[in-house]
Amino acid sequence: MASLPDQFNDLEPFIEWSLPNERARNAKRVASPIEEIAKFYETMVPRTEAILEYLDRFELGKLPEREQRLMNLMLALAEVANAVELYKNPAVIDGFDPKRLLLMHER
Amino acid sequence: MGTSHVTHWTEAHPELDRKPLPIARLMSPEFFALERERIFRRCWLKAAREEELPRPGDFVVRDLPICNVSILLMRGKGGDARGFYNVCSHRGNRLSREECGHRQSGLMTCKFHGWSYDFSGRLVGVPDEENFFNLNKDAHGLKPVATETWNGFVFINLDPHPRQTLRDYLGAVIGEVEGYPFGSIPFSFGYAEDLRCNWKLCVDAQIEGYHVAFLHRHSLGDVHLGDVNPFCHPLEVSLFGPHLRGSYPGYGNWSTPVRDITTRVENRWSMGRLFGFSDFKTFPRGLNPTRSENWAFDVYFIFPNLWLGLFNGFYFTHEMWPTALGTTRQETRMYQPLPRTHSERFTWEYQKALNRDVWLEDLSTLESTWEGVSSGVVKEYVLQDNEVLLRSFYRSVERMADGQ
Repeated sequence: MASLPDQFNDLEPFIEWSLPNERARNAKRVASPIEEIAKFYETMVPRTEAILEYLDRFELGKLPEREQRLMNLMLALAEVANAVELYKNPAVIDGFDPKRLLLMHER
Repeated sequence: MGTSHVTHWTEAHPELDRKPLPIARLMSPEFFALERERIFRRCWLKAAREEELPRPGDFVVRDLPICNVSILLMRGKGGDARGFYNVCSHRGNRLSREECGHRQSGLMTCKFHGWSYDFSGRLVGVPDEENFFNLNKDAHGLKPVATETWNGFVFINLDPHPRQTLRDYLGAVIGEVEGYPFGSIPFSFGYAEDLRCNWKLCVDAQIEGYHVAFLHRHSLGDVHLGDVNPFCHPLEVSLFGPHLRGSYPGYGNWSTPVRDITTRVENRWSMGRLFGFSDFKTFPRGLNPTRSENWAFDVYFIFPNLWLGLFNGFYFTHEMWPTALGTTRQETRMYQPLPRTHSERFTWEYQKALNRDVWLEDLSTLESTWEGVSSGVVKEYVLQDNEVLLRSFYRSVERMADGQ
């Protein structure tokens, strides 16, 4: 079985960005070369409206497995957007180490 | 960058002076001991939000390492949240080891010998009670801490006899933000950090806009800078006793692909709609106090360590909790409407990452500034007019620590 919904299976090469939480997504962002991040970003952006339109047919928090993986790709896009759009760099430039943040949220 | 304009905040407050601000003494171990006794043991301190303990049987623990105490806030049946020292009256064991929770039984029980207390702090159960010697349980309830609530913020005061009520302590701030819907805006996300710096550096970094044009130049700098105001001069500053306000400008937004998508979702969602005000006329008096068309948000700093950033429709807080002279636990909490759809959840994630990245910029200078200050190399701050609130903050700290 494909890991993403059929109409989005062209995103399969980026499946390693489908990570379950902020810490994992941020860790992958800051450990990836900016070229790799930009490739993921540039592939995702043109698909974003279609993906959100599709995912909004499901109740929030009640996604089947394949749809959840697709949603996790979107959350990874949200994570890396600043790296591409603002910093042109994987991490915040001269920023505090995000690994030192203690997260208070589970959402 | 356009031409700047000269501001005159300091002129309105001659008592704050214009000379360099001596800080060496304020960063000394001797002074830290005074802060402990005369600021953190005497001022009202925010301990929780009411939403954290909405039901009878709910409790929240707030540790105050600087004072070497842990406070247990409990909500009893039909009552306000009440604060007690988180210490069993028997032999001093920590009563709750959980940070928060709920007791269906309405009892808190010590894990050492099973002494139990109800949520009004009364000692109600002592195992093997017959073998104590005329034990009067009424005399051995939990030790209470003064607790008062303002707009859902639960404050405690370690002074056995607080010199002021919370309302008197907050003073004019209360009227300024009357009507802001704190209670309707839920907790959304938050971060905490253990920092190697004095707590006052965390405060002083957040009560001026001078850093925005440079420290935030990669991120949201441009949002708060305009041709007429390239250095993020505040629209207004006010002092309310030791408490402070700075009103900060906004001049637009930037357009990038993901930001634009989230902005479209946001416009359909709730920012400035569900919990926001429709126009300036409906704002509390102290929200956008100058009624500027270029207003972004107001900072209210509640002395000594609660920072509120109030926007139209959401707010966030910083709390700066000293753990030692050179270490601080800083906590940041965002309150905003919660996502209801996957589009909104995506937008929420984007905004969270953006705020977090901006905070990573803010956090990046604190420890390196402490190096310069604690080494004694920098003995005074050279401050410009738009850093006037630092003068007020440090003056309040010094006066209070000196017992004035």
